[in-house]
Amino acid sequence: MIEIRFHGRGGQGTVTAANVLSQAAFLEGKHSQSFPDFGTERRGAPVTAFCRIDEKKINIHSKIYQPDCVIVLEISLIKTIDVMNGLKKGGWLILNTKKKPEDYEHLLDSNRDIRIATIDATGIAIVKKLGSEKAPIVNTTILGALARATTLVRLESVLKAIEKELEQKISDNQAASKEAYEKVQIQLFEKEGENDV
Amino acid sequence: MSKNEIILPKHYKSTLNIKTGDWRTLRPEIRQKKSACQANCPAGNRIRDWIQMAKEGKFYEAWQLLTETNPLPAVLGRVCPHPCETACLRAQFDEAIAINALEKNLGDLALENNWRINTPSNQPLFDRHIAIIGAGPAGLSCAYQLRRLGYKVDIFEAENVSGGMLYLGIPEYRLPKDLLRREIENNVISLGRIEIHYGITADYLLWHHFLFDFDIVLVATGRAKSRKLNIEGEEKNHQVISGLDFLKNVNLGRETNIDGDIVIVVGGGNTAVDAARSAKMNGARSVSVLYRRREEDMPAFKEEIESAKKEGIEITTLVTPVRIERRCDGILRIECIRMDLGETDETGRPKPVSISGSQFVLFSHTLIIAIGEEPELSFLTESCRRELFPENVFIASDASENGGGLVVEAIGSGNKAAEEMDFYLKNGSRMELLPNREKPVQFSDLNPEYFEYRRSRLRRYPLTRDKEVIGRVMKEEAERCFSCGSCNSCGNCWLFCPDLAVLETRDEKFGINYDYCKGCGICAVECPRNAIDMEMEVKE
Amino acid sequence: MRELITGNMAVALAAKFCRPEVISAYPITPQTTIIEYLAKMVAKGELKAEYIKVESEHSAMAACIGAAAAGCRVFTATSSQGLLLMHEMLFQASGLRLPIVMVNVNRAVGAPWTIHTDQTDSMAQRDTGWIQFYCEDGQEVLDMIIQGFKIAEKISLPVMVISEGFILSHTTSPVEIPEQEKADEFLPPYQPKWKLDTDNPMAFGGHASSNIYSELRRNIQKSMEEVGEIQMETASEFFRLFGRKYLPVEVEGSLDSEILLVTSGTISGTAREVIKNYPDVSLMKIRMFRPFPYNLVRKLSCHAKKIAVIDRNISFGSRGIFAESVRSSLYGIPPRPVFEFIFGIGGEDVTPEIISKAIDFTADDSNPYWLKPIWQKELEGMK
Repeated sequence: MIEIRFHGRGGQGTVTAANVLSQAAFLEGKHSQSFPDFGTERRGAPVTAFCRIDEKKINIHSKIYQPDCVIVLEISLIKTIDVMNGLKKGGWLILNTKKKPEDYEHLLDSNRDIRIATIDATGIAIVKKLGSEKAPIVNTTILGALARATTLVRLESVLKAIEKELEQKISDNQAASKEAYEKVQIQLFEKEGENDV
Repeated sequence: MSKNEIILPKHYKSTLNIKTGDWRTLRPEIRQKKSACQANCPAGNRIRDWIQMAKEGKFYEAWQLLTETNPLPAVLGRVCPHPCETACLRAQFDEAIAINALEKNLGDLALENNWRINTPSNQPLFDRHIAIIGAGPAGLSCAYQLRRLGYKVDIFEAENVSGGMLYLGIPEYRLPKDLLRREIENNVISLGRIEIHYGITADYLLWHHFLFDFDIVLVATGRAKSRKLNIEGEEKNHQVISGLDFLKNVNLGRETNIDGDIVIVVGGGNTAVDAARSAKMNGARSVSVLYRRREEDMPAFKEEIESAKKEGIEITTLVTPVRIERRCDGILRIECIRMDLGETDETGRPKPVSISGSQFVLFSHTLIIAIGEEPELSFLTESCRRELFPENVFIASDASENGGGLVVEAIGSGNKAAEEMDFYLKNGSRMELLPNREKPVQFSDLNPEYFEYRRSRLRRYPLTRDKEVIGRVMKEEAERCFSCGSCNSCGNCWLFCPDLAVLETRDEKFGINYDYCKGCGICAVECPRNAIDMEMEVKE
Repeated sequence: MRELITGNMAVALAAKFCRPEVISAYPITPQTTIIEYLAKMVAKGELKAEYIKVESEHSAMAACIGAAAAGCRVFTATSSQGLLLMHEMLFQASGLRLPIVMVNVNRAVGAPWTIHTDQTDSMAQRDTGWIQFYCEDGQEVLDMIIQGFKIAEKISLPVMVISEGFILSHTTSPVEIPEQEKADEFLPPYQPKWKLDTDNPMAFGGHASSNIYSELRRNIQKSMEEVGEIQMETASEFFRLFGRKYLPVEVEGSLDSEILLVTSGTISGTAREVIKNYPDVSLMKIRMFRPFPYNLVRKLSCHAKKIAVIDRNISFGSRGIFAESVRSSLYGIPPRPVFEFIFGIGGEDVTPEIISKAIDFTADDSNPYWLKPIWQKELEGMK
């Protein structure tokens, strides 16, 4: 079972991101589950959402504490939230940033091998006019990056899931997702040295 | 499927079978009580009830009800001192209903539209011989009431006009003669079976034993005699004239001979003020009024006093003449004395007391004495009464010492006389007069919380001639009426009744369903106009 | 057809398949999206129902009662405070024997305010005469609503299908969506046994004297005693058409296990994963809480050596309500230890770890025979 955790802010489409990913996996014939960790949400407040993907029926209903993958939709959250909490060895950290993966090496413990992927999802979303310029919606964009980096789901599945889950600007979202798929930068950080994937 | 037979909490019998009314110990009754306005109207006019009709916009029906006790609404609407408005309970809330103005407007509407008094078409007619002496307000209203009951009436009038004091005593500017004539014609004469014989005095009738031909006689000669000052120089002086005679001359178009004169009027009533204003209008150089009390004690209408003052008539109060002397140059030397206020007398006003040594002298060409009128029944001597059948001669109270002297009181006395005469004619004996003890509704009986503050518009704009506007303003004025002590179907009891025992009946009236009324009394407490009474339920 | 949908969407779809004629509801988190979906369906004409907007849950249930009394199939949904506000009307619905189906999305009640889940709101309605089903996932919610109508209409009692706030209502999961024709076959149009009729006027629920009243109450109890049988009958009919089986109580694992873990709602799902690591532990999930299947629970638990009950509710001054009912089911058979756990109050996350800990705690013979429920926080603090 693959478990994914999303970090974002209210208004960025964090919960939808989990739903779209879940839908993409479901469309590939897998069992999946997505759910938000609701608090008293407001625009801008930190939001967490979860997604589980498995070949078998998913019975478990608790939150995710040891994710295989963490997606951060808003880079400023790394200062306030321990996004790395519970991330499994060999897991993925996908960040929405203009910077390169190696700029975030400091987030890692020395004895863990984690792969970091970075993508300027905000930049892409603004160009595609997703959300407003001040508050772009980056959820679908970052899923394109996830598809490329983790190969958990195929890009086509993401695009199809977007069509299913979203009600408007479907093609723009799909284009953003594709662009992110191409532009994502990936790096594996091991105990000793670095290896390009 | 379920084996257990399901039972549902349903029943087909209505709770109407349970007659909760027999729990009642107190019983609400919707009543028609006496309202303050009606109780204070000397003519017994059903003011509240015709206002209710006007409220619904039924002016014709309102007029019919109004004329039941008063055949001359357009006239009374102009000259009545309206004791009803003084009593109106709304006066204690914001402002009394302009009843008098409503009456005048209804009367005018009737004249404009040529409305006719409704008399039942299949009414039984009686061929009894009835004589009424005097075609004044009392005589006319008595004749009118008797005619409505189906009698035939002969009226004998000394002057050659009908209306009595209305014609002779009230100047044209206050009551147009034409309007008076038209209203008498339309509302009284046109009913038929009423004949007025002009120029026949009571003395003449008695002298010629005319009255023997009649089954019943009403003396309605009103107050024809002027009171005298009883001072030196008052008698046998053609320059000293009574207010009534002076007004009669003016109203009949006779020569008054006061052109350029100095005129002094003594008195404080309407006759005095009317005489003073008429004198001024007929060319008097200067007119002044002497009154022995204060101005606020004057019984004349306040607006008349104001008008008189505006016309330059001087009103001197706390003064009375004590001696009149005709000088050789034809000028009257009037010795007067100043008065002080003493103790309160039986009229509720302070009694004037002369101040000795305060004499002063006034000069005038004419002195008009208008200090009140009294009945003149001198023609009805004891022998005369004996010759007639004593029990079939009725005297309208207005023509007796008991009357009050107002036009509306005269009308009321005519109504009353008609009732008594009808009883006599039908039963052959006099009616026993029982005092009516029913108390009118008081302000404390009402629920003023249910009414809105709204001052009278009609009172402020009484002269609007636009028909549509006046109709609207009249309706609006009528809507202000509290309808004290009378159900006007406001539905408040229906709204409050917790047992749904107040019913709206077919004619939009409310009634109580005693089958279910438990006698809680909420309806009576919440009635805005005190039309519901709670009474002990009589049980075996 | 399989779709990945949220629990609330499953509710709305299920309601749609049942073709209710009247829906009246008032929005409250986390139920809101259910009635939003339904309102949309009605507005679009996909669902031919009268959607009555009201100003409170009390009125919503009152409207449902009126419509049901008029012979309509009626659906509504609520949550938490809304359900509490309905309380008075719930008795009216069952007393009038109206087959209303309502979904309650569990949410803890104030004070203090919270929007997260626990079973207190629906447990507080256990004596109202409503049949209650607690569901584990979106599929079960959907299926139980369809069956709920059938049971309600057969027995003339209202049914409450209970979902869980966020953990179920806002969680997407794959759900098998039935075809409308099949749903229609399973649930034909409602034929009311009685209804308000202007041609045949009668009063419903008017005043009743004590002897009539008690007779009516006894009648409800007798019907309640029959629900178990009707439910089985309905479940087998449903199984034939849809291939999914829903019994009042379900057991996973062998009956004569060392420990029988008793759960309800979504905790059952998580527990299913946990017991895979424990060959000696079986899981008993209680689906039907009212009427409580005492006999079934006794039969299914009489071979277990120890019993552990996890409750997502607490009856103050007593204990977890499932534990209470399980304990009374066990009366008459040889006594065995029953361990009680109060987990997940106010949306506290019930993780596989804490369930494992509960099993370990129960298994440990050195632990005393607890007469008091153990709260999640207490267990977490134990070594």
